[in-house]
Amino acid sequence: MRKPALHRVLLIIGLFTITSRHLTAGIQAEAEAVIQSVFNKEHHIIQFDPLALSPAERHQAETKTGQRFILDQIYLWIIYDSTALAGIAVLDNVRGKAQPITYLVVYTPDLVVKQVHIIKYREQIGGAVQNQRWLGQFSGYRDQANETLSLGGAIDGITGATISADAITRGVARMTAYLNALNFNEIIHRAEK
Amino acid sequence: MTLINSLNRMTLLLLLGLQSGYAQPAETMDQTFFQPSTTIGGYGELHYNAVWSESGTQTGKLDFHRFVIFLSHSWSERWSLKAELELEHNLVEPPGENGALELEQAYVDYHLSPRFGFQAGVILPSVGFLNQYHEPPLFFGVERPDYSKLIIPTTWFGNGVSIYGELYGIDYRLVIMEGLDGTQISPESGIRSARQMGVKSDATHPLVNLSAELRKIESLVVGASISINEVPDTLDGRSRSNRVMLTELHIDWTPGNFTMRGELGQISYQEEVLVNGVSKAQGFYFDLGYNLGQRAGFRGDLIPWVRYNYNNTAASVTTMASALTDENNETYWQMGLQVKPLPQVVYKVDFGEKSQAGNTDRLLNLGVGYMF
Repeated sequence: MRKPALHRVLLIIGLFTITSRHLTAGIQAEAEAVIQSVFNKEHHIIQFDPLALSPAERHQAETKTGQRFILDQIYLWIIYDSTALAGIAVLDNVRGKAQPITYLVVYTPDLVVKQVHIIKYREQIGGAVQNQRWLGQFSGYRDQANETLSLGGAIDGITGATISADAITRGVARMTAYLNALNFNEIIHRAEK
Repeated sequence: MTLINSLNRMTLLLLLGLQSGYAQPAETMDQTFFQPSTTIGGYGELHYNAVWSESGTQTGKLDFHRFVIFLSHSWSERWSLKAELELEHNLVEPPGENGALELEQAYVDYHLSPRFGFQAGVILPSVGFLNQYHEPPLFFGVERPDYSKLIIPTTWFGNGVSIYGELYGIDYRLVIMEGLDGTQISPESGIRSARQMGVKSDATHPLVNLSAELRKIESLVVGASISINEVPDTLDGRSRSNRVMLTELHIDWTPGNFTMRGELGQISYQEEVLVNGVSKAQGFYFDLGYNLGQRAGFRGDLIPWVRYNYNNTAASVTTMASALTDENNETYWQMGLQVKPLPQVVYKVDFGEKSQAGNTDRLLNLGVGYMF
């Protein structure tokens, strides 16, 4: 009797996963769904093409946070409401233990972190970094001259997800440092080129 | 019933086949964010262990206990290889002597979605905290808790397959792997010496390990597992079977600067006559630590901690074997300090008193460890 029961369990898991949204939604769709959820519906979202990293500011941000950019460009969305800029959102990768982790940082126009979301996590272990309460610790962070974010400092560690949690902490700090080095007007200027 | 089995199997294979052939739209953005790649990682730890025994002898040893290289290659987002090679005690000597070179992990991982994955190769069963997560910065103490040697035989690895994923906020994992070698189960070391370690392992009596872990609540991890194996053995020249069952519960809670961790486990033997009259082994430990890093102005973790550890590999015995309970009863008090300048680097010191079979030893351990 045990074998048919096992088959049924595997069958249910197979059926369940085939309907999973993770199979069908691409990274862009996932990211834009999150951005929509952060801002209200009256906002207009404009997605620009990939924005190539500027070498000098890139080096500055990497040195400050001790983490290199994996990609040579970032994906940027600019969000407008009816009268003014409402914020920006940036999509990037950091390296987990073995796989890249794709994360989205949403900023206010002052480059203060509004929210952080994990758009794609590809590993078996360490998935607790997707917990939105843990990610909530980044809200309100802004780049400062002689300070950077650290796991175990301003950001709590996660049992069983040390490497992923450290990578995301440094990633958010690195992205914020990079954007701050450019400043908001420069970002808009580069994006509109 | 056979027909139903066959249909179920065929349906399952069909579903999996459809899944593997399911093509995502070739979106440039998705391709940018994932490229096939090879990565390395690893960990290592140097220990100094000093023991003052009640009889008056003193020993002190330096040991580069573990040097581990982790290798991964991802062919795609779903298909990857993960492998871990470990050198223990810095030198490989003849069998039975110090040192070992072990292939602790080497499996192909099919990560279909966060809800379902499949692994095949040399894998680790999900039993307690340390069997899967044992890098030095991740636990208090220079050495792993005695519980993680005597009750849960970390690192426990072997040939097998597993399915894993997350359903309704619970991480689940089902492992079917090589079983235990019944002739090596003992009252003194429990099932530790019975691990086959993937060496041309006997696959006639597979072990089934099922685990569930809740990680959805921030700063709290609660998990449990059960492992069952019908272990072949012999008695007086006749084949016998011994059902060995390991059940355990583990909790880790880190509110604010506090860390509280506890594990509790039991091994039961259906045929105690095959284990010299032992029917159960039991153990637990509890850690309490407090991170003084921020208060002390230290840019990292500075955690003094205490631990109480109890183990008895012959906790329940037949009347004829009652002496074994006293001989294998171990209590171990420890206090220590964990200094982590980075999340991946740790310096450790701990001191403790271990009592077993009427003897009490004092132990001092120093260590440095890393992971990347």
